[in-house]
Amino acid sequence: MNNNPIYEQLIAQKLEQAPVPDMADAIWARITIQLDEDSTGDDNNNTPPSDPKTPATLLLKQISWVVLFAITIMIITRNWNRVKNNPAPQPVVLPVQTAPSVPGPQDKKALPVIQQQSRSGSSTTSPGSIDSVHPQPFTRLPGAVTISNLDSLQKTTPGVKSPFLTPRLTIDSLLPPTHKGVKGIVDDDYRIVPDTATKNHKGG
Amino acid sequence: MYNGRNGLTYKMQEETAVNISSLIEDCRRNNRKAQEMLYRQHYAFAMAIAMRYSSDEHDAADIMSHAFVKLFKSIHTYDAQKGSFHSWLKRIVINEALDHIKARHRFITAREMEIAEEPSIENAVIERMNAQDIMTQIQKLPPATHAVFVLYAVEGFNHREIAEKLNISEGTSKWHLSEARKKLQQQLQHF
Repeated sequence: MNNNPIYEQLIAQKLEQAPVPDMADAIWARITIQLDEDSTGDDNNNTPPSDPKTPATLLLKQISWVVLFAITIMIITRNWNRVKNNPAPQPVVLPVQTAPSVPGPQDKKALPVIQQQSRSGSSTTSPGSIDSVHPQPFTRLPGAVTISNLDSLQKTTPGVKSPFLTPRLTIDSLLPPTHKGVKGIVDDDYRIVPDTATKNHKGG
Repeated sequence: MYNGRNGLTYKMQEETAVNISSLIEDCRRNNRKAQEMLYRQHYAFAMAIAMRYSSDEHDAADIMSHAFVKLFKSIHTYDAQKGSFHSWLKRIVINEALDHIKARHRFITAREMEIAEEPSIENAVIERMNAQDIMTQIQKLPPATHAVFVLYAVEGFNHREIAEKLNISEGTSKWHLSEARKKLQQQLQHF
C-alpha cells in the first residue's frame, strides 16, 4: 500500500461514495445486442462442413464428372471437324537464299564469284572473300534463288508471286477522285471559239 | 421473476439473497436471464469503478458494456477458489477502462521523474467537498494523468504495477502522478 497523503486518502473515500448514473437499462441493452451478435457468429462458425461421403455429394460429383467429360468430347469433335473441313495449307519450303538482296561493299567482291559459280554450274564455292567469313564450304541447293537466275525464275513461274512482294497500291484505291480546275466550270468553257462578231467587225 | 435451469426462482427484490454461485452456473450455460440478474446485482459496484476512470457517464457506459460482455464470455474461466467474484469483476472493469484510455489517448513517455512531487492540499478543502464535486475535478484531469492518479491514490497500485498495466516506465508514472497533484491543487484552490 502506498503512503498517500491524507488528502488523497480522503479523495479515495469520497470517490467510493460517489453516486452512479442510472444507465443500467441502456447498458444492458447494449450488452444484450453484443452477446446476441457473438452467439450468432458462433452458431455460424459451428455449423459442421458438409460430409463429402453423403449420397447427395457423391451424386453431385458424378454429375460434374459426366458434364466435364461431355464438354471435353464436344471440344475434340468440333476441332476434328474443323481440321477435316479446312485442311491445313502445305507449308511452303523456301529455298535457302544465300545472297543478300542488296550487296554491301564487302559483298561486291563476292558477287562475281557467285555469278561465276552459277554459270559454271558447280555446287561448291571456290575460296574467296565469303570463305574468309564462312570458312566452311557450303552446298547450294538445286534451284536456289540467286541474283543471276532470279529473272529467269520469274519468267518461268509467272503465276507464283513472291510472298515478300506486296501489290502496288494505286492512288485511286486510296484517294477519292479529284476534280481538276474550278468547280462548276467544264472543259467546254475553256474552248477557244472564234468570235464571229469580231470577225464581222474586222471584215466589215 | 426468473426460472433458472435448475428450477431456482429469483426475484428482483431478493437480489442480495441469491446464491451467486448458482447465478454464475446459469450464466455459464448462456442463460440470458441469469446474465441480466448478475449484471443488475453488480451494476452500481462496477459503474462506480468505471466512472473513476472515465471522463463522463457515456464513457463509463462504454467501459461497462465492454467489460460485461468480456465477463460473460470468459465466465467459464472464473474460479471461486482463487478469489471473490467482486475482485474478478473489478479487475475486468479496470482492465477494460485502461484499454479504453490507451486506445484513445497517448501517454507521454518522454518525461521521466525519479520522485513524484507532493504539492500540499489542505484536508479541510477535501472534507468540505461532496463526492460528486471531487469526481468532477478528477475527471477534468488529462486522461492519462487521471488514470495514473486513480490507480495510485484510489486503487493503491505502486508505480511499478502502474507501469506494467499502462506499458509505460515507472518514471513516466511518477511524472503523471505529480502532474495530477499539481493540477488538482490548482483546481481545488477555488473551493
